[in-house]
Order: sequence, then structure tokens, then C-alpha cells
Amino acid sequence: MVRSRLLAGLFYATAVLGAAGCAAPGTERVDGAAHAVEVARGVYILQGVPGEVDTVTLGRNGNAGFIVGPTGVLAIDTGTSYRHGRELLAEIARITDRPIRRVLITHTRQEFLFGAMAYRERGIPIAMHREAAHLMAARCETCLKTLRRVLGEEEMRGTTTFKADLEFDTAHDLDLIGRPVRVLYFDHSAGPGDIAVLDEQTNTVFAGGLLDWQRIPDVQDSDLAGWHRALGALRAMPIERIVPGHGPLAGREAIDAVERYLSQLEARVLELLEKGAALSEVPDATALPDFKDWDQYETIHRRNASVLFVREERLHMLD
Amino acid sequence: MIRALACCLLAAAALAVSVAVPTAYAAVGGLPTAIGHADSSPEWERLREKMFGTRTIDAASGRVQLLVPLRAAYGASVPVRIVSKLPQTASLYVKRLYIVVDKNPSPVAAVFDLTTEMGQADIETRLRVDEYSHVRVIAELSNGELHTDSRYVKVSGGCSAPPNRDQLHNIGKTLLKLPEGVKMNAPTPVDLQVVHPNDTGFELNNVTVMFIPPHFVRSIKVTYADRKIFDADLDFSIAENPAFRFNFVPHGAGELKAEVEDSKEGHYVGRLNVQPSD
Repeated sequence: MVRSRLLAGLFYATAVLGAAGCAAPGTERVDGAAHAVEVARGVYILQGVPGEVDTVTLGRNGNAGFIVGPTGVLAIDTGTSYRHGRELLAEIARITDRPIRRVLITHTRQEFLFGAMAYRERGIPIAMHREAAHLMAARCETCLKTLRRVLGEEEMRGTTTFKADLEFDTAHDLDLIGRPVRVLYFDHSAGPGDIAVLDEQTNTVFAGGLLDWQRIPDVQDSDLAGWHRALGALRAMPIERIVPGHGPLAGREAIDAVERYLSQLEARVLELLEKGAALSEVPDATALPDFKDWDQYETIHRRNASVLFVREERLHMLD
Repeated sequence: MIRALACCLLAAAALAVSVAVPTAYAAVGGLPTAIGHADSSPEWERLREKMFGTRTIDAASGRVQLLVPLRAAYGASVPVRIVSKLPQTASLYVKRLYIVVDKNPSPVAAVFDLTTEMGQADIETRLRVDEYSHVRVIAELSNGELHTDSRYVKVSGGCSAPPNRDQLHNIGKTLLKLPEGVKMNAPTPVDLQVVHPNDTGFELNNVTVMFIPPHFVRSIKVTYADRKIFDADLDFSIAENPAFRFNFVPHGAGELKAEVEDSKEGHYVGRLNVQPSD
């Protein structure tokens, strides 16, 4: 029976890959194994896999990455589990033997933070925004419980919630690896405490929760006005390439695509609210053909529609 | 009294976890597979006994239908629509509707006590669904028959949204709207919504990282021109800002009124003057 579920899951993952028309064959893996690809000099992506959280993808849907400088390495995001975190670290070690000086967690999502204990046991300081740390403390025990149930005890062994070693409140420069890196923070945007990480030598940005590419962005934790402002700020920067939170390496077009998605979603939801739609009609009625080929259109997009509808409805009630 | 029943049912559900599992479960760590919408669950078996004893509950009659989104539900607010295939007449009507979420910490989400004034016993509301769970409706007819329908709901995205902590002074604001206008002497849909956090007591405040104490709407009584439309006993399985869409049959001008009571003895009233549209 387990075998038949695996097969069904594999079929699903393949179907999603096909539907999403993912741009970079060869870098897409469905088994969640860590694989570092250099996207600019000394800048690497450890790409996650598309699809839902299941026993095939192992919920390893988020991208991680790292920047190698003359005196050390800066790691960005930690994967979905202790085991995943160890695999990411092994892959970094395959590329470079320079010491990892710090790991930054870009935002409060399970596929970016639950590998942290693997970094901690190597003595690598874990840093995140204070707001992100608060949100993690408030809800991530529940996420972890759900992950254990879906992925199983074996896959999640050694995975725990944690307290970051370093919590910060503002954007800042990092002088840790002999190469300038800037931590970008735009107030509450895609989530509270969401950051992006800019490698200034190559103008490559690790966008975390701010940008997904060929994958539906998740609005659940967002302040939409703040997110739009953050996208405007990113657009004004000389960014050349983007490691999105989910999906393959992107160019600047990812900024416009996310902006367009959010605008279309908001417009459609407000229209439904004006019409007096019932919540039960909302997911079907919020079809956005421009984004139907993006990963998780059938899941995150439908949920986004409900999340936003309920949020806007509340604002109307308080008027 | 229904409240006391719900508490006792909660305890029953907690005990039920140890009962043998009748359906197919995956061996290693994964979720149960091949769950059908009409399947039972250990939690439901216990509850059913407490609520209805050995009475027959008809799952095949189609007298009551439950509609819920089957994909990608937003767990914090899952819309459920109950459709009764029966006009509310004095000779036969739906007297009571129960909504149950098997896996929730307090599985009995709502008990509606209905009247013929509704015309048609259709109700839409929104539930919190913590994990993959069956949602059930049980309809008790005025002749004593019990009918049921159920759906297996998969919520997506393991993480809950940070709760709204602003605008607490607006708690209890109760709004009534007629989304399709007035239909004289015919079932007329009403949207009723209460601004309320409906806190479960299980959520942590993401600023203080302390538990937010439970605070939720316990009951709503709806009348039209002083005639009862329905009463509802509610629990925190009802989503934040409790929302209900239901019918009533207006026969002339009158006041539609909703009296709301919450778990901290808060009393709130919403009113809407209904005028015949000619």
C-alpha cells in the first residue's frame, strides 16, 4: 500500500512538472536531494522541488542557497527537516571547504527553517528577523506536528523548533565572508520579518518569501500594501538575477510577475465581495488564467482567494 | 443544556482516540489512505453513541446534503453549506441540525434549533478544521428521523495565519444583510456575521508568545418580527468572525434581529428593518 501511494505521488509530481513547464530540465529533481548549482560567481542555489508536501517531495519545496566569499560562506535557509539540513550542509561541503559563518532564515515557513538544528550542531549561528522569530514561536510547533504526521517520524527525526542565535530588526550590511552582502528588510511585506539577501558583487538576490517564480506566491502571512512597496523597492535596485523562494532561478521579470499576480488576485476578490459572493464560491470564482500553469495553482491559489476574501470582508465589516 | 452535552461529547472524543481504527491506514508515518467521504472514524463512533444512542441515522436518503471544498481548503475558515431537500412545513420539517468536525478538539461545532419560519433549512457557515478530518451534518426531522451526510476535508498548508489582534473594540459588531433582497412569502437569504476573534484558547499570540485565552461566540438567537427563526449553540470550531447564511420567510414589514452571546458574557445585538419590496 505504501508502494502504491509512492507511485501515485510520483505520478502527481511528474504531472505538476509537466504542467508547470519548468524552465530548466536537469536541475529539477523530484526526490528532494540537495544539488548545488552555481548561478553567479560564488553564488549557489540549492533548489527545492515543485509539488505538494508529501512522501515523494518530502516537503522540500523551498530553495536554499549560499554565497562563497574569500574568508567564508554565508548560508541562506535551512530546508524542511534536520535530515534535509544535513544534506544541504553536505552539498555545501562538496563545493567548498571554507567555514560557514552564519545561516540566515529568510521567512517563517516550514520548508525554510526546520533544517536549522543541523546548522546549530555544527556551531553555525542562526539569524532571523525578530518578527519572523516571534511568528515561528507562535505557530511552528503545530506545523512540525503536521509535518511529522505527513512525512513520518523517520524523515523528521531530530527536527525541533528552536530559538535563533541572532535576532535583528532592520536592514544591514554583513561583513562576514570577505565579500559584501546586504540583508534587505521592507517591514511587513510577504510576511512579518521577511528578508531578502543581496550579493552586491553579482547583484544576485535571494528573495525568500518576497518572490516565487513559476509557483503561486502564498499570501497568508502578508500585508499586501507592504508587499507592493517591497516589490517597488526591489524593482528600483540593480538586481540582475533572483533566487526565488520557490521555483527556478529567475530574472527581474519575476518582480513584475508577482506584482501582477497579487494585483489580479486582489481585484478579483474585491469584485466577488462587492457581488455578495458566499465564501464557498470564492476559490472557483477566482480563476486567473494567466497563472494557471504555475505550480500550486490548484492549491495555494485557491487558498489565497479564501484568505484574501475573509480578510477584505473583515475590513468591510469594520468600516 | 446543549452546551453541557457538547462538553461531555468533548470528553468522549478524547477517550475515543484509543479505540481500534476500522479503516485502512498507511503503515509508515504517512496519512491514512483511501478515506471515503462516507466513512466513519473512531471519534465519530463515540460521539454518535453519546448523541444519538442506537437510533438509525440514514446516510443514503439524500434528505440533507453537505457541500464543502474538497481541495485546498483554508483551514482557518472552511465554508460548509448544508442543503435540505425538504421545504419547512408544519407537517414535516428539519428541527435540528448538528455540525461535527471529527478531529477537532471540540468536535461539535454547532447545534441549530430550526423553525418552519425558515422556509428552507439551508445554512452556510465557516469552520476551523485543524487537520484532515471528516465534517458531518446530522439533520433531525420533526418526525424523529435522522439523516446525515459527510465529507472528508483536507486542509492545506500546515501553518496557521497569525490571528488578528487589532480592532478588538469592535468585538460583537453584528451585521445582517439580504444579499438577494426581500422575497415576500418566500425563502429569503440572509447573511449574518459577527465581528469576533472566536479564540480557541490554543493559539499563541505572535507578539507575546503567550496563549490567547478562549473567547468565542456561544449562542445566536435570530428572530423576525419577534418570531423565532432559529437558535444556534456554537463552539470555537466556528471560524473567526462567525458567519451564517440562512433563509427566512418575510410576510410583511418587521425587524430581523440577532442576539449574540459570547463566552465572556458579552451580549450583542444586530438588527435589520425589512420592508416589503413592491
